[in-house]
Amino acid sequence: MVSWQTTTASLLSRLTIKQLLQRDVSVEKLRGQMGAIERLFAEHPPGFEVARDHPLPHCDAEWIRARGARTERVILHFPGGAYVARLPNMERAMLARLCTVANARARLVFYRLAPEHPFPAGHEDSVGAYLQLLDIGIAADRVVLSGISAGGGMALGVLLALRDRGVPMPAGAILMSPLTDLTDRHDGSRVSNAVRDPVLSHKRGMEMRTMYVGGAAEKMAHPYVSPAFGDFTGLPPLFFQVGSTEILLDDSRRCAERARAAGVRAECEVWQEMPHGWQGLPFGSESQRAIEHCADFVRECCP
Amino acid sequence: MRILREDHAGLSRVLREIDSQRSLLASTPGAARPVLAEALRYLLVYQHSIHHPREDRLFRRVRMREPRLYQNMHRLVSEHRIGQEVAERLAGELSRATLTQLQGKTGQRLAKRLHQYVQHTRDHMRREEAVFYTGSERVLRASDWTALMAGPMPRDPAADPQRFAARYPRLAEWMSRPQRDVLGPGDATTSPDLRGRLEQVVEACGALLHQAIDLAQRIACASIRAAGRRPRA
Repeated sequence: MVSWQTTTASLLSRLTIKQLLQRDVSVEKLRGQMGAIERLFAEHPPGFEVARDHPLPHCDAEWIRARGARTERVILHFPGGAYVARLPNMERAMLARLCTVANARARLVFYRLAPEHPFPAGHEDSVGAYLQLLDIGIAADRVVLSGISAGGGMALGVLLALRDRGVPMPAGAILMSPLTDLTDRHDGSRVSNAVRDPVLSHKRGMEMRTMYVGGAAEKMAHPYVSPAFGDFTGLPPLFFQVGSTEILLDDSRRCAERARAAGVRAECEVWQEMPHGWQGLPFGSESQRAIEHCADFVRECCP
Repeated sequence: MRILREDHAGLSRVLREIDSQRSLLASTPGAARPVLAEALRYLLVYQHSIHHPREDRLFRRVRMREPRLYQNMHRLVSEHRIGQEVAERLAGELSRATLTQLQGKTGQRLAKRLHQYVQHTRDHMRREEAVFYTGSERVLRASDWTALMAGPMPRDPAADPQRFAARYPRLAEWMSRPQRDVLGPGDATTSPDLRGRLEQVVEACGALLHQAIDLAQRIACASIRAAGRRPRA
């Protein structure tokens, strides 16, 4: 049974975020509204330090680590927000919880956003962030990629690019409700969960997806943009988490199936009636449990 | 140290499965109980009987080299004993309970205690990695590691899928499933049909609310503009 905290969050989201995503609002207004949600979160998670050493050439990136902690594990995280907006404070708070349980430190990459910087700008920033970790002496098997929503799709796209370039693979990847197919699909969970999903709506989805590829619709099926069409051979272990009522449910299922068919260890946890991005909610027992499952996975693939 | 870290990897995988199964215990006890029983058996047979004594030997070596560091580890030693006792009690209660009991309050209580055990073990692992493992790597010498490695070194069966499946078939079968549901079924008192209608009503109310806000904003803007154009008396 779903906790009252998560039930309330779903109801509020249905009345606010989903309405916003269904309406004809500009990217600026969308970012402004998301900024209002951000005020619910502290800028810096208590007990953690946020450092901006090792800058990247085209985008911001931060280290998030518990004060006084010594650990070799690194979680390289890509934030969500449909590639056009983001909630940095929420991402930091979620990463702090994940780092605490997994005994790890995190690298949060604010890859460039569309429509100002369409694909491949954000993708190149994200690949560059991983290569930088190797350059500064962090072993590939000490790094786990993670991403939520669009960030999950980004993480998968990065893995495919690293494999294609012959770069040493990270130890694994955590994919929280990833957006893995940007083509205009109208089947499966995108239809069956259209009403049930309390957060996302694909009414204006095409418009946002077109922004990400800079209007070049033919790029939408590119595996770095829509990893669901990629060949998963040679990828490290993958751990998917998705809510049963999300329109993106099949995005996770399809990728997990493709990965397993390609001989990759892939697991897909389907959390009953959880809203999109519930891992980021700072309250509710399900959020903490989901983070603990992610931390278990980090420990499994990065002992 | 690598063996100890790999033990934690196997332990983490099984803890995740216990946490998933315990949420299914009350709704599908017939399926969840055998998996949980095997998971607890794995913990008792390997983690509590082989991994923890291995760590305890390491603790003793650390005490020889740096007694001050051992002060922080004392708590970890007692947690090994407490964890084993709790796992034994949980395994006993799980096997003794009837399916009907597991569907009721007994099952709920057991599920809660299983969760507490999982939490305790995760916290313990984290403390070990943060304090003990890093400290041991710093103070122990090559001779210490040679002495510790002498004698048989059984490896975690979780690291070998075939060996694991032979010993814990139900647990291995669940762990290898491509998709796993977490949290069990939703609220049974509300039918899916009714819930769907309620969600549609909420969504329609939300849309109306936003339209009303838009309208109010437009009226307010128009009034302000009109007030600005009105000639001052």
